[in-house]
Amino acid sequence: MEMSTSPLIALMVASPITAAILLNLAHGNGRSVKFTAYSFGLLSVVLPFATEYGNHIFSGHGRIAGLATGIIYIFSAHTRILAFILALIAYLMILAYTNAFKKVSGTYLAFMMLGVGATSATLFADDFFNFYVFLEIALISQTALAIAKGSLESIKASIKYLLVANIAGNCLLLGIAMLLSLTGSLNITDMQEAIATKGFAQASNPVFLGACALSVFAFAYASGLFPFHNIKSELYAAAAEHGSALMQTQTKFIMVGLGLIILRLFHEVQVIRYLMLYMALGAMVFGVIMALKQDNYHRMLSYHAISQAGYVAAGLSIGTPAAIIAGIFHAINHVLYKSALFLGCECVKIQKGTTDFKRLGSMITGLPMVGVLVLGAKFAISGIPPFNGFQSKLQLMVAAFDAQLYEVTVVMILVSVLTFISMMKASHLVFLRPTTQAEKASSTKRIPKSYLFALTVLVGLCLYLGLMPECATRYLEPIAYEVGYMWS
Amino acid sequence: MIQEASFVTAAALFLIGLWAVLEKDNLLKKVMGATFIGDAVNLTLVGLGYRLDGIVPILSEGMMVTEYAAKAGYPLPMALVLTNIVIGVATTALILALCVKIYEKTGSLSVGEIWK
Amino acid sequence: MIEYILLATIPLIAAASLYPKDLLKAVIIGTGIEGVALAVIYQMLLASDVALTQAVIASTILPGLFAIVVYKCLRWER
Repeated sequence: MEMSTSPLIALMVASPITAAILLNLAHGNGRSVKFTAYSFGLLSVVLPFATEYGNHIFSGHGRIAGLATGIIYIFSAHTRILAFILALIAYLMILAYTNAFKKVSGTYLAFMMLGVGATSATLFADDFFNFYVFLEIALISQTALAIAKGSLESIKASIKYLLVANIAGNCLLLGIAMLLSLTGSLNITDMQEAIATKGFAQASNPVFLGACALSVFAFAYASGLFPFHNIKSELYAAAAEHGSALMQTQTKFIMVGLGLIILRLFHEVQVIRYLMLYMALGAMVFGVIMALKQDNYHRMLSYHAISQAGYVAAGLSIGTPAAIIAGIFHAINHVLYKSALFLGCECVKIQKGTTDFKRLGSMITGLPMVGVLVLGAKFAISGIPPFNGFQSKLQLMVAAFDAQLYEVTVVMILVSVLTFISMMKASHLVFLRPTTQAEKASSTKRIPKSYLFALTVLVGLCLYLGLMPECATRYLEPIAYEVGYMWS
Repeated sequence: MIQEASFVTAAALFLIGLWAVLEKDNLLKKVMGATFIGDAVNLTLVGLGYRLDGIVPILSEGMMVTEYAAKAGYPLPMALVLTNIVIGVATTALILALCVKIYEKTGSLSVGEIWK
Repeated sequence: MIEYILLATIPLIAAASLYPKDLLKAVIIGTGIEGVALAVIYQMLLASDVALTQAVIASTILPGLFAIVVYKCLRWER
C-alpha cells in the first residue's frame, strides 16, 4: 500500500485559497489587506522550492492493489518551475496593483490569489475531475479580474466568456463521464494503464473518440486557440493591464496542464494531433494578423498573447520529447516577457491616461527606464538573441523540423517576423515618435517604484533564461521523456 | 431500459440547450440554455450509476456489506453530479448578476441590440 | 412506466419554456418544472442525495435567482 510522500503539496493549493478568504474578510482595511497579500504571496513563491518531489494521496488510504483510492496530486520537476513562475508573476502584479492605486480592494486581490491557487492545482492534479473543478474556478477568477474594471466593454466581454466557459466545462465533464464509463477510474495514471491494456478504451471505440473530441474542445477553449481566439483576446483587453498579465499566465499554465493530460491519455488517436496542430497554427496566424490591425496598445498586446499561445499549443501537439520541452519552455518565457509588456502598457496608461496609438508618442522622455526595459521585452517576444524568446522559438522550430513538419517551421518563422514588425511599430508609435512640446508637457505623473522593480525582475529573468536556457529546460526533461512519443 | 432512455433524454436536452444558446436573442434564454446543457450532463452522469434491479447506495441498519456490494448502484457519479450542480448554480448566479449590470448600462437584454 | 413518460416530456418542457414572450413564465417553466421533473428521475435512477439537492435547487434557488433578474430588468421580451 503506497502512502503519500510529500505533505506540503496540499499547502501550495490551500494557502492561496486561504489567502483569498482572509483578503475578502479584510476588504476595506488597507493595511491588513496589503499585509495579508504580501505575506501569502511570498509564501507561494517560496513553497515550490521547499516541497520535495513526490505525491500526496488525499484519502489517507494510499494506493490499494495499485489503484488510487482518492485524489492524488503529483509534484515533479516541471510543476516546481511552473508553480514558482506563476507565484512570482502573481506577487509582482500584487506589488504593482497595491502601489499604483490608492484604494486597495481586498476582493480583487482575493480573486488574484484564488486564480493562483486554482492554476497550481490544475498543474498538480492527477485526478481528471479535480482538474475540471479547478479549471472552472480558474476561469471564473479570470473573469472576475475583468469584471473589476466596470466599464461596459468589460462586462460584455466577461458575460460572453463566462457563458461559453460554463458550456465548455460541461462538455469536458461529459468527456470525463465517458472516460469513467470506459476505464472505471477518474485517476489519470489508472486511466492510462486501462487504455494501455487494450480493454474497451481504444481508438476504434466511438465513446472513446467522443471523450477525446470533448477534451480537445475544452483545451481549445481554455487556451484561446483558433475558433475561440476572439473571446479570449477581448477578455484580456477588458481588464486592467496587470490583471491581463496574470490572466494570460493562468491561461498558459492551464494549457500546459490540459495538454499534458490529453497527450497522456489520447496519444493513440492520430487525428487529434493534426487537429490541435491546425488550431494552433490558426491561432498563431490569426493572432498576429489581428494584432497588426489594432490601433490600441492594450488590444494589440492581447492579440499577441493569443498568437504566442499558438506556439505553445503547436509544441505540445507535435508530441515529440523535444517539442514538449520547447513548448513548455516557450510558455515559461512567454509569461515573463508578456507580463513585462503589459506592465509597460500600464505605465504608459498611468502617465498619459490612454493607450490609443494616435494620442501617444515620445513617451521615452517621460519614461526612460520603462522604455528601455520594454524594448528588451519586445526583442524577447520577437525572438532576438540574447533573450529567452530566441531560445524557445529556436527549439520549437528545430523540433518541428525534426518531426518532418516543414510547413509548421515555415509558418513559425513567418509569424515571428510579423510579430517583430508589429512590436517595432508599437515601439515607435508609443515611445519614439516625435510629438509637440505641449503634448510632452502634459505627462508628468510619477510611476511607482514597484513597477520599475517588477519590470527589472521580469526582463532580467528573460535575459538570464536567454543566456542559460538549461536552467529551465532541465526541469522539463523528465515529463517530456515520459509523455513524448515519437511522431510516427 | 431506463438507463438507455435517460441517455437519449440527456442527448435531446443537450441539443435543445445548445440551440437555445446559439439561436435565441434574449440573454436570459441563453442562460437557460446553458442550464439545460448542465442538466443534460448531470443526467448522463447519474444514468451511468444505475444498476438493474438495484437499491439506493445507502448502507442501512442490519444490511450485510456483501449484500450491499452486490445490489447497490454505483455511488461515484453522484459525487461528481453534486459538485457540478453547485458549480452550475454559482456560475449561473454570476452570469445573472452581469445581466443585471448590462441592463442597467444599456437598457436592453437583447443580444442584437447590445452587440450591435 | 411513469419514468418513461417523464423522460419523454422533459425535453418537451425544456423546448416549450423557450417560446413565451413573458419572461417570468419562461424561466419558471424552464428551471422550476423541468428541474423538479429531473429530481424525480434522479430518484428513479437510484441517486437519492442528488435528487434531494436537485429538488431544493430547482424548486427555490434557481427560479428565485431568475425571478429576481426578471423583476429588476424587463418582464416582457422586446
